[in-house]
Order: sequence, then C-alpha cells, then structure tokens
Amino acid sequence: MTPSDRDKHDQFIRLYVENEESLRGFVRSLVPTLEDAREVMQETAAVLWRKFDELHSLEDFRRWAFGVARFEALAFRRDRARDRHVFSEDLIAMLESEAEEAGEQSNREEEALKNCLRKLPGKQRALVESAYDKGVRIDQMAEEIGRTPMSLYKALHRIRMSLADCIEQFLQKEEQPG
Amino acid sequence: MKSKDVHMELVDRYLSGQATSEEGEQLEQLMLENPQLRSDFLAYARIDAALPGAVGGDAELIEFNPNPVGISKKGNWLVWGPIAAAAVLLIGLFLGSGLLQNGSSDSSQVVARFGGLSDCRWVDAAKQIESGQRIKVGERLELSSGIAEVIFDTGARLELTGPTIIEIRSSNGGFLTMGEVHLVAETPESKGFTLETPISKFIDIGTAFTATVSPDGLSRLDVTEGEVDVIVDENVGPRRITAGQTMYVEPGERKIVTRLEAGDETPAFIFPTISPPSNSDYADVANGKASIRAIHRELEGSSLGGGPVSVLIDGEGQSKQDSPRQSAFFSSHWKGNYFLMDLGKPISISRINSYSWHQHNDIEEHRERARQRFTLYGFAGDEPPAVGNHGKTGWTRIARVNSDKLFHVNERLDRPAQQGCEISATSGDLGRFRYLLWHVKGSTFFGEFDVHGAP
Repeated sequence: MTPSDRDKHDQFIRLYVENEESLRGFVRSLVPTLEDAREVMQETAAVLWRKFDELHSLEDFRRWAFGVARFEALAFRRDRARDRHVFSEDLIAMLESEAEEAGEQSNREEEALKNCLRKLPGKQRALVESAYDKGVRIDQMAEEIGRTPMSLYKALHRIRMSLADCIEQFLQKEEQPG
Repeated sequence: MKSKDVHMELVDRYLSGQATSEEGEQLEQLMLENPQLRSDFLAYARIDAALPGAVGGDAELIEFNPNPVGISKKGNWLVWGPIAAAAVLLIGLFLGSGLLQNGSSDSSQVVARFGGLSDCRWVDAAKQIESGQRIKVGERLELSSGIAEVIFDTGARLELTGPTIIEIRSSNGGFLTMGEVHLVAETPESKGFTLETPISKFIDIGTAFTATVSPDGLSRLDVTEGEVDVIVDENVGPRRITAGQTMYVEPGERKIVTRLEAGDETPAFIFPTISPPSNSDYADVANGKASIRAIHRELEGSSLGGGPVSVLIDGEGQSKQDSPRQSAFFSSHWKGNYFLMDLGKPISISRINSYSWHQHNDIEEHRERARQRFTLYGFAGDEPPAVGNHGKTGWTRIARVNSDKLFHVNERLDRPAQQGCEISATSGDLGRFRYLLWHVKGSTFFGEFDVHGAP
C-alpha cells in the first residue's frame, strides 16, 4: 500500500465513522430486521470504499453515502425480502433527506442511549440485553422465558419508547441552563 | 415521542417484521402526510439499530475478506462497534498487501513495548497482545475499545483510549490517525517526542498532553503539564502551548486554530494569551460598518432583563458576573438559534473573538451560561443564504467551538465562569467574508464579539 493509498484510506475511515451511526439508522428504517440492516451496511461500506475515487468532493460524502445506502437497501429488499411492503420512492426520498439532516443528532443520541440504558430497571435492562444479543430470535426467546411472542414484542416496544423519551429528555437537558 | 401511541405501535410492528402488507401501506400513507411521524419513525429505527452495540458490543462483528469465495453476502466483514468501517477496511486492505502491522521500511527497529492493558479489543480479532510485548517502528496499533499503554524505550508513555488508530513512526514518535492518546514524557530521552496528526504536529518539550483526532479530522491538544510546540503549517514557526491551555485545529486547506481560555472573572476580561474585548475591531459599533441581529428565534425579552443584540459589538464585555442586560442570549435552549453579522462588504478576516461571563450571585456552581458552544460560518456574497442545512446553502464553515469539551467539564464547577475564544489561521487570514453566522447552542451570556480584519 503506497502512502497515498494509506492517506486515502484514512480519509475514508474518518468520513465513514463520522456518518456510520446515522447511516445505520437510515438503513434500519428501510429493511425488515436488524440482521438485514447489518448485511446492507456491510455491502454499503464495501461499495463506498470501492467507489471512493469517484466522489468529487469530500463535502458530499454524507449525501453520497446515503444515496448508496438507499440503493443497497432497496436492492436487498428486491432480492431477499419480497414478502413485505416496500415504501414508495417518494417516501424513501423524504426519509433519506430527513435522516441525512439528523446526522449530528444520531451521534449525540448514541451517548444518550448508553446513559438511558443504565437507568432502566434491572428486569427491563436484562430483557433488552437478551433480545439484542446476536442471533436471538424473539419467538425462541419468548418460549425460553415462558411468555408469548406477542407479549415479548409489546414489552420490548414499551422499553424502546421509554428509551426514546429518556433520550429526548437527555438531549434537551444538555441544552438547558442549570 | 410526540406521535400517537397507536402510530408508534404500527411503527414497531413494521420494524419488527410483524406488520401485514396492509399495515405497511397504512404506515406509508400516514408518514407521507405526517412529518412528525416520519421523524419519530427514523428516531425509533436509530434506537433499534444502535441497541446491539449499546447493550453488548459485539453485535456488529463483521469481517472482510477481500477475495470472497462466491458471492456470499454474509460473514465477509469482522469488526466491532463504532470503529467498524475503519477495521473492516484496514483488514481488507492490509491482508491483501501483507502490511497489516508493518507499514514502514524501517520495520526491524524495536522501539517500544506494551505496558498495562485494560479491557482491550483489537480490530484484528486474531491479534494476541500481551503486556511486555515489543513494538517495532512501522507497527500500526488499531484499538477498538479499552485502554492500552505503550512504553517507548526513551521513557515516553502513551496511553491509548479506544477506538484509536496510531502508527509508531520512530523511536520517539507516532502518527495518530484517529482517536485519543495521552502522553507523559518525563525522561530526558523522551524530550522532543513528536505526535503527528493528519493536520498538525505536536512536539513535546518535557511534559504531558492529550491529543485527540475526531473522525472528521478535527485535532485537539490539551496540555496538562509543561509545554508543547505545535506545528500546523510547515511554512510557519511552531506555536507554543503551555500547561492548562488547549487548542483545536480544523481540517481543511486553511489551517484554522481555535483557542479557549478562562478569564480572571473581572470586568477587565484578562486572559493568559487572548486579548480582552476590543473597541477598535472592524465590527465595533464605533467603526459604524457592521450590524448584527438574531434570527430564527427571539432573544430573551426585555421583560426578563436580557440585553439587545447590539451589546455584542459595543466594545466591552459585561461589567459584572451576572448581568443579563449586558448580555445577548437566547430564550430557547434548543438548537436553531443564530447571530448573523453583516460587515457591509467582504473583508479579509484575520481573527474572530467571542467573550462570555456568567456566575450566579448566590449559587457558586451555577455558571451554565458561560459555556461557548457554536459553529461559525462565513459567506462573501451580497445576500446571505438561508440558515440551516449549511453544507448545501453556500455557507463556509470556519470553526466549531464547544468550551465544555475543551475544559473537560464533568461537574458544574469545572466550567470557567468567564471564557474567551479566539479563532485565527496559522498563516494568512480566515477567509474573505461579508457575513458571519454563529449557530449557537444553549443560552450563553455572550458579552462581545470582535472581528479583526481589513477590506
């Protein structure tokens, strides 16, 4: 690898890492499951690196990356997830634009999420940790803990909503004078 | 979240794969008509996507094989958490070139060893690192998480906090691509330790400092003991930073340096190196050429005692520690507040200073409104572009300022009550602008903005 390759590589790393969280959220909004989102993110990262030379201006990286992510997510759904409703181009364009705008917010939310997780009651935290462990299926997990899948989905939804409220409060508090 | 519960339940059913096709269509129709629901949908998806990393850490395990057999879409990448892409590509590229760890032609020289290792996870999962293991020139250390100590034979000690990527460049120096390192160089042999970043070079003069390079290339230097020479532009001599001082260096063609200092908390606004508020700068009201206004949201109204925005160019800071009437500050604490300055015509700007002061008269720890947190933009044309979405509207970003980060504010009392910020270029000017836009976060008591420059 030549020094210029390395410089290019480092530059790419910095840009990608800066935008990774917001890209991941956007991709998640377009595909059915977390596992799907992981796969699309892998493909997106690979495509971005392969085509990095084609990017005219580094300032356009975010917009370009969101465009690539949208394309990869739609390709994934076309090839692998035909059984679900796919959002129209109009809605996807709106989501892309709004997710791109929320980029800075995504990075701040990450810190807030960790803080809010620590505040969850023990049982809720254990539940969310188990549910988000790699490879876990909700129906299997429900069976193991003696609940119905529906009640587990609902419990996780309540936890996510509680985390969302906590994150919002955390970010607002960060901005407020004491 | 502000959306109706029933709508958020629909969002959850969609994202967890339970929604029927009809429910998907219903959600789409609702989102097309309702921006709040779109916003909440995206926020909910972000939480779902971030949770694996937040609760466990290895949910983003990805490995990259540059020459996959077949077109398997799974298992080609292997990395953790926030540094995923970095590791992905490092592994992919370096495996291919055989240069995973040794990037220098002088790779045989052993110059350091690993010291203490705490909860370390390395980008290369197969890499086994132990305390005492030797390190050669050219080795690239890619730490995903945890803290690793590197002890040079010169006696210099580097503490890496993951995620960090650093290359050992010499017997007494390294190149920090990204992340955070803390250096302690107490031995005579370690004097002159050189830490390079993509846009600067920090040369130790027998001291301790922390250097940080954020993902977008912004470099930060905090000197905790002694002195450090900073070279941002090879054509300009070093700039010496001493204990207690911190500076930021922005990436980009112009080498822009931001310094923040705590003042003496008197009306004289005395700082270690930053000059006090000026009544002879280009923007000063006495000069009669500049105007300033607040946009997007209103300043704190007079009923609550807030001063007019013109206090920012009246040539002086506040006369006492808690003086709303001599301060310009926003009533809203959320983002979306701006100060827009019109200099009348484009001028070459050499330096921009801002000053804040707030210490509650009775509550010692209440000095929240002293914090300076803003992004500064410039524009040279006749009509300023719209605010918001600045990357697309023509504004040029000049600098980003967050004094709480710089002063390492963990407790309220850590925050200096009086603060001065100076933004300048290492050589030449900051740029030629007619309009300056401060995108302010928080409700800081700003007392003065000084703009130094000439047509």
